[in-house]
Amino acid sequence: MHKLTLPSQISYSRSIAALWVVLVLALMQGCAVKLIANYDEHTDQALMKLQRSFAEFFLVLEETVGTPASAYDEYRNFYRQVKVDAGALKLRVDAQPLNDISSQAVAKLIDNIGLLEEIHKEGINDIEVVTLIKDDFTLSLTSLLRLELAKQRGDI
Amino acid sequence: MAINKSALLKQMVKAAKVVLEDSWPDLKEVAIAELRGIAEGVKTIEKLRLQGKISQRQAKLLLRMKRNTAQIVLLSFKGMGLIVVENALNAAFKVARDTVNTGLGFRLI
Repeated sequence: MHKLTLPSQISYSRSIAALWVVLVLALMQGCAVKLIANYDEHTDQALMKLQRSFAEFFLVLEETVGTPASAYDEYRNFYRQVKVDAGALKLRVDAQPLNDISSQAVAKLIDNIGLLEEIHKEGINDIEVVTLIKDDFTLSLTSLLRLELAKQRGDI
Repeated sequence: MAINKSALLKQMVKAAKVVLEDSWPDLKEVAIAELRGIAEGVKTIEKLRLQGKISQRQAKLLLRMKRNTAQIVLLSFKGMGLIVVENALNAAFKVARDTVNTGLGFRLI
């Protein structure tokens, strides 16, 4: 029985290893790694719409804080609209595969809208309170948008 | 009990490091800046409550809001960290593919 000599054994092992490498790489042909969802223009636009709604809300609230015009009842339509818009955004992010991170973040945003509404019902009478809440929504929406834009790949 | 802003920031930064792992060096400056803002906001809530400008319930709701905001910030960084990893992996695969093709002298993969 023919026995492989040591140099032949090494050469044989290398050939097998090279073959495995080629086979694995061949299997990966055209299969880029994807760890997170793709950029979605509708999500981008939905976030911008929410940003505009909240920007206007805080602008008016800052101007009217401490007056009857800043009372919760004057803003029922606003809360109705942003809850509808945020719900639509949640639906959109949930529908995309590998989008769990954005989905969780939007859920937190929706929770914050609810918290804002409860705070507002009790009355917002000081400009510092308005600024405090405005900072949260600005940061939240900026973070969500930043992530969405980064999904365009290579934008970090 | 007075809130210690520095201690709070330290805890949030520690949590962010765990979330971001290898991407921490790339994202740490922005992460720390944003978490610092949140820590300052928590201190402001305490101040407003002590001044009687917000009720106890409103203070609790505002704190919950800050916690949600911190989580949104960390989630966004986690997502960007994944994109960094994804880009690195795909770049490595491309190099491997190009090396194989160059070595073979023709485009196998």
